[in-house]
Amino acid sequence: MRIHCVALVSFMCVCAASAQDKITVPLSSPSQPVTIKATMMSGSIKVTGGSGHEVTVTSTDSRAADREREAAPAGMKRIGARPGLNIEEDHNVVTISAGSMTGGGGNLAIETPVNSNLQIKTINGASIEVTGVNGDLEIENTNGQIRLTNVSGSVVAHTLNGAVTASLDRVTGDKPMSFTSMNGKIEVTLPDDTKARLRLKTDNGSIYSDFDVKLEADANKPVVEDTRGQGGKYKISVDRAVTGTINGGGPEYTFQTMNGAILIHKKSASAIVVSH
Amino acid sequence: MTQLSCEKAGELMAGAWMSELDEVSAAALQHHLDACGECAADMVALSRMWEKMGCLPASEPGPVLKARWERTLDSLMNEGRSWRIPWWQSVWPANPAWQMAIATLCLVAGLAAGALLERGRGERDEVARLREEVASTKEMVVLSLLQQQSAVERLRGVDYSSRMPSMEPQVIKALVQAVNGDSNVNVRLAAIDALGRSASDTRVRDSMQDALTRQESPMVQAALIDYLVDARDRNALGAMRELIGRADLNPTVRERAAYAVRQLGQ
Repeated sequence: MRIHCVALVSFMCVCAASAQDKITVPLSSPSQPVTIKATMMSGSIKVTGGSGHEVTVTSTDSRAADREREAAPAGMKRIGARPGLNIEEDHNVVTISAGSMTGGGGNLAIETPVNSNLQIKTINGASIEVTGVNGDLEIENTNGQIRLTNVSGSVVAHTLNGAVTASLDRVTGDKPMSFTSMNGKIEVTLPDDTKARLRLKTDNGSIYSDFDVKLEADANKPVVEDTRGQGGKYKISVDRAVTGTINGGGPEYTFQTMNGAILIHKKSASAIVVSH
Repeated sequence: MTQLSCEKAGELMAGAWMSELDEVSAAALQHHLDACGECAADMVALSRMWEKMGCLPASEPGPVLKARWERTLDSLMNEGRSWRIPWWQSVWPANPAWQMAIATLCLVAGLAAGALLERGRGERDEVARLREEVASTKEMVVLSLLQQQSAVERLRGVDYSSRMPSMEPQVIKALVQAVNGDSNVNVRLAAIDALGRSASDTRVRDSMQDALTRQESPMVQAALIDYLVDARDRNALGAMRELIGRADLNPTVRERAAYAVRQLGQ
C-alpha cells in the first residue's frame, strides 16, 4: 500500500531532568477527523477536544518526585529513570504508547481536534477523562474510573474496577453504545431526544432513569420450558437484563455492571454546554 | 319387349294396383296377361279383392285400448324429470360452427389462465428470491461490520445480528469468533448476549465452554458462566472446574463459577 504521508515522531525519553514533556504532533490532513490510539500500562489519561488542528501530547512523570527522594546506592548517582513514550502519526492516526510492562508512573494529557475518534486504554490508570470530543469513543480501563464530559458521538466504555460516568451532548443516530463495569456505578446522561433501545443489567444494584422508558412487553415475563413429556424438566427462567425503549427506540445501548447501580439521566437541550 | 314369367308377373301385380309401375314394366305385365289366361284370371280376382279392402271402414280404438293409452301417457309424463334435457344441452348450440367457436374460446381462456397462474407463481418466486437476497445482504453487512477496526462498528454488527429473524451459520461463526478474539470487552459481551438465541446448538455451547477456559476478562468469564447455566449445559462442568482451578481468577468470578457448578450438578 502506498503511503502518501507518514510522519513518525518517536521519543524514548531517558533523561530524568524534566518531569514534563509537551510534544506537538503535526497531522497529515489537519482538516480531516483524527484517530487517537493511546495505550498505557500505568497512569491516567486525559483527552481534551481543542480548537487546534494538531495533536499535543503532554507526558507527566507522576512518580518523579518519589524517585528523586530515593537514595542512590553508595558511590553512584542517578542518571535516568522514567517510562518511555512513543508517538506515531500515519494518515491522521496518532498512536501513543507509554509505560512498560513493569509499570511506570506517567500520566498523559492529550489535546486533539474536536472531531476525533478515540481508542484509549490503560491497565492501572487512576482514571481516563475525556472532555469535548466528538467521534467514536472507545475507552477501556482496568483499575480506575472513566469520566466523559460534554462528548458527542458514540461511546463504548469498560472498566473493571471503577465507575463509568458519561455526559453526552449529542449521539450518533444509528450507532449502538455500551457502558460496562464489573465493580462500579454506571451513570450516563443522554440528550432528551435520544432514540434507543436500552439493555440494562445489574446483579447487585438498582436501575434508575428520568427517561420515560417503555419496557418491552415480555421483558420481565418468565420463560417457561416444559420438556417433561420428553423426559425433561419444567424450567422457568427470567432474563437477567431489563430491556426497554426511549423515544420510540433505536440502536441498542447496553448498560451493564455486576456490582453497582445504573443511572440514566436526561439532558435537556438547554443544559448542553457548547464548549466547541 | 321383355317376356315375363308367371312368378314375376305376380310380383308386378301389386305395383299395378297401386299405379307404381313404370311404363316398361306395365307394358310387359299387360303383354304377359294377354298371353297367359291363368295370370289374367288371378289379376282380375285379386283386383276385385283389393278394391273391396279399400272400401273397408277404418277401425276405431275401443274404450279399453284408449284407457290403457291414457295411463301409459300419464306415467310417462310423471317420469318427466328423468326425461328432462340437461341445462347445458339447452345452452349448447347445435350449430357445429358455434361449437367450434366456443371450443376455441375455451382453449384461449385456458391458455390465458395458465399464463396468469405462471406469472403469479413467478412473482411469488421473485418475492422469495428478493427475501433471500435481503437476508443474504444483511448477513454480509453483519459479517462486514464484525470485521471493522472500530469497536463501535463491530458492536453495530452484533446489534444487527440480534435483529435478524434467524441467524445463519456464518453469522453464528462470526459471533463465536468475536467472543473468542475481539479486542474489546464490550463487543465480546454483546456477542455472548446475541448468541443466547443459539444456546440450543451444541456446537455453540461447546464454543462457549472453550471460550470460558481462555478468556481473561472477569466480566466476560462471568457472562459465559451465566450463558452456560442458562443453557443448563452439564457438559460445561469440566470447564467450570478448570476455571475455578486457575490461581489468578477474580474472586467474584470464582464465587460465581462455584455457584454455577452447584446449579448444574443438581
